[in-house]
Amino acid sequence: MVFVLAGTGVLALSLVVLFILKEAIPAFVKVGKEFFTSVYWYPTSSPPEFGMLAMIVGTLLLTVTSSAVLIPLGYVVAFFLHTYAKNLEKDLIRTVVEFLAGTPSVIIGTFILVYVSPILINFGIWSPQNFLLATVGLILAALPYSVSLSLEALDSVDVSLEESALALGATKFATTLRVTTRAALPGVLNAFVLTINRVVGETIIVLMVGGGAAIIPRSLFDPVRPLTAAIASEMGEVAVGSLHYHALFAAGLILLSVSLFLTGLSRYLSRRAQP
Amino acid sequence: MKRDLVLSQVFRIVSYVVFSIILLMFVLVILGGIRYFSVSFFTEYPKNNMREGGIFPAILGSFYLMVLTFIVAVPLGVFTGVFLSEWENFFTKWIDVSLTSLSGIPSIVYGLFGLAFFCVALGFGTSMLAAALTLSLMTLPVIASATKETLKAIPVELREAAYALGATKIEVIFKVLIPAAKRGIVTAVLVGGGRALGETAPVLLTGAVFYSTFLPRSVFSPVMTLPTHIYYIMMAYGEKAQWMARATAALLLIVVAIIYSLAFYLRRREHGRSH
Repeated sequence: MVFVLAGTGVLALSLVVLFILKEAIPAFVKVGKEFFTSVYWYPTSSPPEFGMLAMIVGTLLLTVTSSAVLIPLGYVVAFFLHTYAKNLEKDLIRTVVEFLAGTPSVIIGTFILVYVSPILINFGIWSPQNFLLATVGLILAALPYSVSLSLEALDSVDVSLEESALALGATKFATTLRVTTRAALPGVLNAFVLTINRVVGETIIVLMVGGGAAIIPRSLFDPVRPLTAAIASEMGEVAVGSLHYHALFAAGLILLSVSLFLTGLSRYLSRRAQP
Repeated sequence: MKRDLVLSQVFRIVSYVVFSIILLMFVLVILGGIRYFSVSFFTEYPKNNMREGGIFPAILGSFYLMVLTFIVAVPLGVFTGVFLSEWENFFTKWIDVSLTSLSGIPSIVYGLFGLAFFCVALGFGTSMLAAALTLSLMTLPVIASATKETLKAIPVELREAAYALGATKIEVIFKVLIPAAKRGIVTAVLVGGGRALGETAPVLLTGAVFYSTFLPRSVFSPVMTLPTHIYYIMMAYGEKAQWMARATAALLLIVVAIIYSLAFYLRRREHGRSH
């Protein structure tokens, strides 16, 4: 019986891939390459148009900008906790970061709308939902992954390696940067990959604070609508089996492929991490 | 050496800024909502366009959904973890790869799958059952991998002693290993439950109802939950309803924080014992 129950994981993954694929294919057949080349997403007008380029670019831009902050920031905090922090400091900061990891994204979204968005008005920015706020939300949501996983990688390095470097006269900074990080490189890279995966898949925050328009954002204060937000907000209104329904599954297929690729990469890296 | 001192302070400041921002968010969300708590907030239905009343159906809905998710996810997750730790064959690797892949899939893609498979293909419709099954699949990898880690950490002598006494493999698993790993498994279940409780996107697609004047009568009824309730109010209602979103967010954050505190406490005791 244990065998059968344990097989659920394999069955579940096959079913997920199968059903997303099955529901996405009709859209690819009918819409064709317009999906990736057109920025016109008007699924409800007649004739409807299904160009997802603006949303794909939205996802891409959001991922790049928030990762550009997240990855260095997470590494710096992990660096501090590993190298300089006293035990009490380390416990305290790590616990708060872990609580943040458990905070539902709808709460982060609400926090930004209620407390952060009004601040922008003081700077003459009147759009209460925009690209910048979405980036801030994504940073809050994914920072715990970046910090905890980088820290775990740094902490897993053999202490004797660090002690040898310190004994040779290297500073603590040089030791962590040149010796520990190098030894833990696959683990640190793995932390980055999983952080990016978290950012790409985040839905509710970008839906709540990104604004609604499916345009390619040209400034930080333009609205943005990534693939995840489009699926969550439009799925409630479409008829099952319509072309719009299938098109949203096609968006899901893109997200699924990206996440499978990134987890594959992460698996490869974490295998390299174990000697 | 001087550079080391300066950098350590810079890194310390960055870490404390991050720490303060996270803490500030928790404090603002909780204090901003807790002042609206009253008896009627917990016992009444929302009234007058969400401007008055309470969130009783959402509290109950989240509770039901949690229970249903646990009924499915806990046995599946624990058995999968047992299998991964105690058996070693061709099948183990497949399950391991599947679980890693499942753990990286974005929640919105689970929502799409739940909609296509549970709601449409199996004909459950928009229901509590479909939402619970979708959430179970998302929690499965969390529980399974933590169970596996806990079991692997049990000293091999314990197994050998049990086998030497003539116990069968099944007896060893159920009478020796699972009791010994109890605390680790409970921690994993709490972490998985905390995450499922806060999920918005998959529930939105598979089982959520905007507003209901009656409680779910069976597992086939749609359900109101705390996170979807916050989401709907923030997105579709004006200023006068915002208090309810703030109060619900505070409640949800408090419940999640309690669940996680319990999990961290158990994990600390577990580690304290083994080191």
